[in-house]
Amino acid sequence: MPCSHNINGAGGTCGLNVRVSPTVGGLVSNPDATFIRSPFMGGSATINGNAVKVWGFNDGYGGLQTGPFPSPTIRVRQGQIVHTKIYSPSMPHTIHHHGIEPQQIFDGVGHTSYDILGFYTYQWRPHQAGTYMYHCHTNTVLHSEMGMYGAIIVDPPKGQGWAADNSTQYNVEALWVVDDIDTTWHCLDWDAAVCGGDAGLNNFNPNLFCITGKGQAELDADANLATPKVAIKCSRGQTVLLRHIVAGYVAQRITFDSRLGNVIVLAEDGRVLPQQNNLGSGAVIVGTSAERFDIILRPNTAGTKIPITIEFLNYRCVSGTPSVIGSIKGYVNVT
Amino acid sequence: MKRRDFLKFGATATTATLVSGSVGLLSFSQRASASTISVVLNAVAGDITMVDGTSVRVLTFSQNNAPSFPGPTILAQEGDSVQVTLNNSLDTSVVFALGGTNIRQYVGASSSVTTTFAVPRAGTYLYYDDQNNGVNRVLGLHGALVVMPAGYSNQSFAGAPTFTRQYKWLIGSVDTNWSNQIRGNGASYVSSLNPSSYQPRYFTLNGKSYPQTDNDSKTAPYGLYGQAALIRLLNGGGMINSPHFHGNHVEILSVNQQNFTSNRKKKDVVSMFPMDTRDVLLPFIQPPDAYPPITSQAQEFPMHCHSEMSQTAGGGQYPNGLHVCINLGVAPPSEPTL
Repeated sequence: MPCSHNINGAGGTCGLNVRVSPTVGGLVSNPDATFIRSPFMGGSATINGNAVKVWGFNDGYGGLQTGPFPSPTIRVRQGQIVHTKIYSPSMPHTIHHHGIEPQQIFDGVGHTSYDILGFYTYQWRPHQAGTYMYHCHTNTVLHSEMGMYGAIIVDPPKGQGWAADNSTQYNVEALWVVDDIDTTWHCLDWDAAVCGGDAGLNNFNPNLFCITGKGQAELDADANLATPKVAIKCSRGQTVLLRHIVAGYVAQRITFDSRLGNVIVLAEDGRVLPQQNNLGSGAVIVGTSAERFDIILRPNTAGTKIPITIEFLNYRCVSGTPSVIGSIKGYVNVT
Repeated sequence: MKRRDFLKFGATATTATLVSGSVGLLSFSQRASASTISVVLNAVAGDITMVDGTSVRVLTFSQNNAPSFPGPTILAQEGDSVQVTLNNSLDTSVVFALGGTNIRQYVGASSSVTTTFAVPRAGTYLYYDDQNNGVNRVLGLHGALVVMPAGYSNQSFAGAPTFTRQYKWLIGSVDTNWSNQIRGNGASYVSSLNPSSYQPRYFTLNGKSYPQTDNDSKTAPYGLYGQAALIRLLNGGGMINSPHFHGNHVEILSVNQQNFTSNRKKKDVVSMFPMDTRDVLLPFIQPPDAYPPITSQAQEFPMHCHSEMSQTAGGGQYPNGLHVCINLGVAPPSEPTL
């Protein structure tokens, strides 16, 4: 989808707190895990057959033009001291570790710390396993929409294969980062309307929807693969952990096909629920922007392309009754 | 009457007059016996100024003739009755309805009505005009009723965790086109506005947008470590919101007046559909994923709606929307009121 117009309002750095490679104290010299993330702003993703301009983060230094959508997952273990290093040489960006609660200077919010030009290191130590996300928090309304986000998975002490409660073992893990895209926003500049004016950033009309970067056409094809990337492939009786991240801006209504059996919510927002919430079969979960759900499924009925349907709800909701503005189906293949 | 004088008066009289601003916890004390609280709500049209200087016409409940966006907070305790005098100066009818209850009072155009009701059980309630499929509410005819439990001054219901301070966060949103239509055609134009034409351009918490929110003692939470704050969230606006807390997860105490006495969730996002109410506990703990750990140092974190359209004013100007900073480890410059 080519950019035919470019209405930006007044750009600039008003209200931003841009610092060039600021240095702060307190960094350990030998973190348990280190990730490097470099922003790119000339990427392209194929969503339901449409080429969409995207921004995001690459793994490692460099690759400043194009890169993956969504950005690569950060995976660590509970209790590790982690460094996330950003290298943003041309435009200010940040990394906010959403749901992780570090020191203020490592929270990645410009007006309470810094918008970063150059290098910066975020230090954090997750105390609770679960599903989180990271995203750019500079002119967030635009940068997160453009794709500057990825998942964070914090494994419990027992490691991969164990859910956030450190006692539920899973056989199959799925990461669904579910987004809504308004392609008219994807022609805007980095600093659109930061200094005022009207870039239409209050007016969001998503016309494409995706699960972990794939639209419906790509999801349909993916589910036919022997080793699908997004579709869940399991055998009857196996335990599936589905990490669902509401990465878009509008609410999502997630409906599970009854063939998938009981839908059990084990954790939300990186916190294990005090009691597992068994919603039964054919369950519906409603989530709003940036919530995360750790869901346990134990399908016992064989089938291909058993759907999990995600409906997207208009954020404008004067009457209080939400209206559906789009939907997408992810799949489970049970043998 | 000054608030302090009112409190003395309210503590001994059987009939009290409620004032806007009401009382915060540190000055809140339970009355020994129930009262009838008299509230005057004038339905008025007027102009208010948005964060970027834009003037918008709103319809609100007010205690005088100036618009109050949102309406005044009514604070009661269990056992009280509330006598509401509705003076409607608009050229259209107005309703006082109390969410989660059957309490509803209609008042015709240019009329007055007085009604009395026994307050519902302890909790947070949205009062609003429910006419025209939400149009009247969204234009500003809404406010909060807070009912404290009998015998408690630092819990939102018997058995709830204790708090040091309490805040009310009432969400609103403003469509300038709707505002202009009301300004040009009068309040009675509410019946001509199509709810599905709504396009909000301003996003508010207690009627303010960031950074105004930071300078409002009623809105910006402060506290030393360990001084938990009860935050009563209500959505009077026309948008599905998704408030997200940095720095601390919150504990969900009540959802639309359903109280959780045990097994409470901890969330960093609190879904707020229109007319929803949520009571959450912000624990004011040291940010738990900090290394090196925080002991007593001040830490400032934003709370903002993650449905990010709400982070704008007039189509841009991030983050001048539904956004406020939380100040951990800092005593409040002045104590909050509801």
